[in-house]
Amino acid sequence: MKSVQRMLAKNASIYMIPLSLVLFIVIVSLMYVIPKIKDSVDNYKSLQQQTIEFDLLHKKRLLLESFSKDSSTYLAIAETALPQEKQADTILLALDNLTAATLLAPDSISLNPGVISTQSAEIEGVSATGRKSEKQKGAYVIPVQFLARGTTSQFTEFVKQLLASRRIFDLEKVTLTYAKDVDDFLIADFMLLVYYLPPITEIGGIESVLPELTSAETELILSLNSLPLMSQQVTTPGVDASIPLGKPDLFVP
Amino acid sequence: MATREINLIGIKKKFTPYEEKIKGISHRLIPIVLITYAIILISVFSVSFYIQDKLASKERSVASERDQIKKMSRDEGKYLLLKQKADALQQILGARFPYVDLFEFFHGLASDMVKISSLEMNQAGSLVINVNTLDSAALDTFISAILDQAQKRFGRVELTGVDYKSDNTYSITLNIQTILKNTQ
Repeated sequence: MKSVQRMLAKNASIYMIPLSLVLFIVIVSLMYVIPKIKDSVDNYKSLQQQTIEFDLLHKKRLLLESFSKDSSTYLAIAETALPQEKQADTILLALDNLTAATLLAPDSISLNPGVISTQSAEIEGVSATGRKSEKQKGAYVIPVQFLARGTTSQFTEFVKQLLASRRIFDLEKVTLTYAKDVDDFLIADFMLLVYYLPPITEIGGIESVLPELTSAETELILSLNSLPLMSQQVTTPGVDASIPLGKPDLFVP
Repeated sequence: MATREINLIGIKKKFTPYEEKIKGISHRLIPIVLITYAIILISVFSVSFYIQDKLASKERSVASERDQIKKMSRDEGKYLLLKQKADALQQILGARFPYVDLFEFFHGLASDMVKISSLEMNQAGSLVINVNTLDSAALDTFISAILDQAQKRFGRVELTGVDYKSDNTYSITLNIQTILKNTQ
């Protein structure tokens, strides 16, 4: 028994310090180093995610900051081409101005804009009456049937000016009937499409990526500015707008 | 009485050469291991602190960006609206049907022998032209002219029907799928 104790005491003096050291390293590693490395790996992954998120948000903020400087100009131009509301009055005014400019004689105009209400109060694509609006080419349409008569040159000029109007019109269909008795005279039955785009009522989350407005789109919007604004009241020379034309309210004495 | 010997000098351990060798090795290695481990410890803790600090800083930046974007929600709405409008305008203006060109083309083909009574065009490319003629040979020439010119001016024009009506009216139906060239 004594010999065993002696052997252990002798060996311990050689192996005790290295063994204690190894034990210390193992314990410290298990308790502190390995959890710290795990934490660091997790934090590094989070850091990468945060970096990606930051880049996206930063890009979005810069885009919004640069946009907010020019937003009113661009929106004002786009609004005249594609208004937020149906604006039935501007459709009639534009057709009136176009026919006056091209001397095409209007016979009838038929449009059914449906409920004229604030579009922002409606669910997208569904009017207040629950009737589903028709969406074509990214915007809602109001069909307008327009019947007119005139010469071929008046017709071609009308179509040219109609398609070049800043309030965007599209010609879905046209039926031309030539007059039998009069040369170079025709009756034109137009099926027009007038577009409008209600304002959006919901935007995505803060992290949602904004679709970039391309330079082609910006140029297109700016190019609209040069198109004639046919939906504006044309003042007739010699008529004084300040002259009272009647009582504004019939029930007021 | 017999005397006994006693050794009061401390017992000095005697190691074998093998044990001496191990002792020497451990004496040399222990400081190296300790220093290396200390370096590893310092590195691990430093890197951990650095990453934590960076993460905290990035989180602050993200929160700041979020706040600023939140304040610009009105601009974001305007931007999205403008983008929607730009998309729609591109679609509408990019798909214009050349009504005037087509009208002028068909109007130019009419003659005293073949008179156009009506012309119907839609933006899907369908076109119906009604003509009055008493001479079927003139009608042949008219149709041939359409098809001949169409090869030069349009991408693909399909003659889908020629119908005769009792009042010497022919209805010619065409389908214009793709217009590659401007007729002017």
